Amino acid sequence: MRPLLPRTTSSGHLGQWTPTAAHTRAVLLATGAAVAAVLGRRPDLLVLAAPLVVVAIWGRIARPRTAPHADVTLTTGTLREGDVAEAAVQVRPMSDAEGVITLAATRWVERKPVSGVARIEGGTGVIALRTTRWGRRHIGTLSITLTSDWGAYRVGPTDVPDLATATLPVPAAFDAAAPTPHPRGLVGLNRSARPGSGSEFNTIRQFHPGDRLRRIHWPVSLRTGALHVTSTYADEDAHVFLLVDAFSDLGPREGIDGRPTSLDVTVRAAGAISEHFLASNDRLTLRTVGAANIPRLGVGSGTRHLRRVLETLASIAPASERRDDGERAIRGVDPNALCLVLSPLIVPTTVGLAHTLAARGLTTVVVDTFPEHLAADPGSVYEALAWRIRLLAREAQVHSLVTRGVPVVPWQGPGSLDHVLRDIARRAAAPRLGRRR
Amino acid sequence: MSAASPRSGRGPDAPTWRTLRFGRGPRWSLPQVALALAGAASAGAFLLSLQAAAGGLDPIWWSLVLVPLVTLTYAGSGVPLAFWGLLLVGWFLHTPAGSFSPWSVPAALALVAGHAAAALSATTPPAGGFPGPVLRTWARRTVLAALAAPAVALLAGALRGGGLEAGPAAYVIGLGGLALGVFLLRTESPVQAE
Repeated sequence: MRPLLPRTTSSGHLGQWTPTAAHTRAVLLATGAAVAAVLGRRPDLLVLAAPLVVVAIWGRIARPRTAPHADVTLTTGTLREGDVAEAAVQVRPMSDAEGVITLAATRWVERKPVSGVARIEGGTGVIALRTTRWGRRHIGTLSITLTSDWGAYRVGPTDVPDLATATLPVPAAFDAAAPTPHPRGLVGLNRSARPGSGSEFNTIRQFHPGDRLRRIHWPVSLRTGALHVTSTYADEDAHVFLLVDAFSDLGPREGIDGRPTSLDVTVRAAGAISEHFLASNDRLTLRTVGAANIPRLGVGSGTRHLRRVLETLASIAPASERRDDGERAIRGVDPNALCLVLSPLIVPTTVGLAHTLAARGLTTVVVDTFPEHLAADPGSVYEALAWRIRLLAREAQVHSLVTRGVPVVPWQGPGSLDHVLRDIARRAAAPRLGRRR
Repeated sequence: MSAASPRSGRGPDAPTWRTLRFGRGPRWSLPQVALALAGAASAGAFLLSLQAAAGGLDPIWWSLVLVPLVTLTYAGSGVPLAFWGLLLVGWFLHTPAGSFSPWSVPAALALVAGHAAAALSATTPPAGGFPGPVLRTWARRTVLAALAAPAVALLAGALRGGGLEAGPAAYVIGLGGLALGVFLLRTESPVQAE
């Protein structure tokens, strides 16, 4: 099954004009009263029938004679959680058509007006919708009904083919002041261990052919009598590997306006981390476990890659591939990559994957995305007991990771990774035991 | 019965309507409920005219006033036809044969108003509403159609009297109706090209 692609335009014929109950009523009442007036010599009945005769004739004469066609356009097919899009209906060839648009209620789509009913005036109508949770979905069935003067003739209600949107997760606020470990590349903002073109001061050394003249350090050069230059560490980019756990989606789904589920936290955290590292010109790889039909996203950097990452995150259907052992997801990971595993640590498979990554010698950090409100507010005694048992098992899993040397940090937005990244950088810079050759 | 108000948010400047819910039924916008009340008022006006024309009316007939309210859901069906057909039959049976009552004019106005209310209600789902321009358009149409009733009444009265001469009162009423019709059907003056 392919992921649902955004669809922003739709069109269709609305059908033929048919007389309504109102027109039938006007005709029958007018005719009946007029006949009774003539047969019964009752001029007062003729007076009663007169307005209805006008209504019936007016409705008949003013009836539209062409079958209408409707075009529906959505202002955007890709939007963020909480964003508003507008579905505009244009009726052809009738520029003076009147009627109503009805948008059926769909989960995670708020309608404005809330009734989902908007009027078509002068051949055009607009209804707004607001998506409240990330994901790919249809916006709901859009029906169009047109009526003529006096409501005498009607077309519809006719459903037009469904429109679809991709709602990208709103990245949570995130920032990290600590450098990314193991930078190795050409561009970026991370200080590497080797000297080169950059901004971080390294040392002052003698001038070599090829050095830039603006790097000459004149005080030292005058004092020593030989040209000296300021050398810097090279600024390089790092590789970040994100592994998203989609095995479970715990908690009530309340959308952007409510409390987040575990997968909401995971996806929004993944979006935020991606945005941060890609803005720093780092390379990023995204892999998911536990979700089916997720396209495999390669290494990339920059704004367009961020867009691809967010669209991939929006495609996640939780627990749609429970047999996934994750081996494919962690295959071929760059040895110098910083591996960030985002998981609520409920399913043992993800914990096992973190163990595997660490055992391969990769720098691995587990970001705990378990929402605290889940266990803090149990609905019943039995639920509280179940959560207590589950959290005890989870503590054991976390402990096993920490024992192996894999840091487990709770997701807290900005600065969540600062402490652990600094520790990793310090560990990498520390002297190591090596075999003398 | 419960009431709900729309949530605020960005979007087109479409009016939002308060809605009412009767039991487990659909939500009804206040304009739709107002149209049902207008239908009930029209039925009441028709029955008042019938009582005046017939010189009396069985009290059971007054219970029909509630029909447009009770049959709110069926405005787009044959129920209004049956209802107003019943009222016309009532008029035929209660007024003396061969008579002509001036009360037929307000009864005709009530009839066309009731018809228009039901027809307008059927053009929109229960939760939908009617912006001002739509209401004004329908009001103009209804008034224009209703003008046929006094015109036919004047003609019928003249024919019954044996001549087409109209009294001063008829002239005043006719000219007033004509002026009202012109006022309601007026259009905006065309915009001058710069």
